[in-house]
Amino acid sequence: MIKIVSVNKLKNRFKWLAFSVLLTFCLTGCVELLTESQIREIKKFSAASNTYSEYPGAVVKAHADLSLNNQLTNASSAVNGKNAFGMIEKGIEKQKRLVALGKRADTACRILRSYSGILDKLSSDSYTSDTQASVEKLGSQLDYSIKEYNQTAKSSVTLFGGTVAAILKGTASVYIKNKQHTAIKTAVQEADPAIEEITNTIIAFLETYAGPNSLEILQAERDDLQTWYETAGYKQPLSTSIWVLEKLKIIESILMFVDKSKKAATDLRAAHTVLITKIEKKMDLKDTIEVIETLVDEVEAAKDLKDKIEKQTI
Amino acid sequence: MANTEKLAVLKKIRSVKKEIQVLKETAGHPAKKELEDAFIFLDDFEDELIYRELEKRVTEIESISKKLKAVIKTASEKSDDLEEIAEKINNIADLFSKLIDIACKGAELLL
Repeated sequence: MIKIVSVNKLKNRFKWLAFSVLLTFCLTGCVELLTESQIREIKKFSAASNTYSEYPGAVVKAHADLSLNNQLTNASSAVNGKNAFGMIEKGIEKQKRLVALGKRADTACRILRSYSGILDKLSSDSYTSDTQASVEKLGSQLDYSIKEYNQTAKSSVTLFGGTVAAILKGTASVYIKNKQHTAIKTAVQEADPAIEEITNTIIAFLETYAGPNSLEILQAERDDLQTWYETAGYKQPLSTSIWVLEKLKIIESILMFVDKSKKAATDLRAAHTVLITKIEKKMDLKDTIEVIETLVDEVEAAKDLKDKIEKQTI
Repeated sequence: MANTEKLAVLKKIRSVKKEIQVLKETAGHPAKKELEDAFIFLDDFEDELIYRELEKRVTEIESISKKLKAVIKTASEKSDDLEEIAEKINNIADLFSKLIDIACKGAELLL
């Protein structure tokens, strides 16, 4: 009987010792765990950059179509068939060249998607959940063995497989979450200059379409269409006027899209700054509480595992 | 060509193109053809200037994306390390399960 009490006491002491050591590490800042709010921030950034990666290419594609349309309008009032055909051919060639450029922009910007993908992966809980099954098996095996031993030796050693599994799971989770935090911190710090550069360049790229002191590509396409309509197009049937109206609406939409894309690039940059601040900053009381909450969550999850194993073996 | 020069050239081209389009509508046949050829020439020149500028920007984005690629590669390796740690924990837990099983069978034999 004395022996059994000792095992129980030892078990409880070990559990509290493990928890206390981890808590002390957290409070002194030796262990930085990936917290829920950091994961939320990563998810926000990830969703934004995923969508964003397609914007610059889409603008070039819209430009390519617009440019072909303007060549068609010019062809419709050309002085001879040869010139008209040449204009159509040129429009097709120009469209092809721009579409290819848009694809290059898409491919280059897709790196933002890959970056958010790796941040997502590093912040995922799959690393910790992967250990659950084997630790659970260990706990169950231990309890099963104790039961067998009790039956054979006619003894009454308390089952402690669940506790061992819970401690092992808790410690492994905290260890992995600390490693995840370090990996994410390094990644965002190293990526930050490139994120700043790429968003600035994307903004500069979009500004060639519409922006102060820019090439004003879209306005020029609109002016070309307007001049053609005012000099030659208005004489053509009503369908031409309707067609021009449609093109004007399209140009208006592209202008709005470019504007929104520029703003989104600025927001993306800002989101990364928030992310890096959130990951890097020294813990204040609120953060410490959150780290402790994360730890408590891990302990709770471990307790659930302990209860599950004990239910299975009782 | 500096950016301000480029903008000035483009502005000039666009303004001449516009004048040509207006003149073409009232000009007689031989002049009309000459004006259209001049328009096509200027239009090609404008397209080339715009394309080069856009291509320059895309090349810049491509070059920066390579820097980010290097960061992703390192982060990917760290993710692999984490998977390896999780696997090691699994292996250790499995090994302990087996040891417990052996120890239990051994104890049964001794008792």
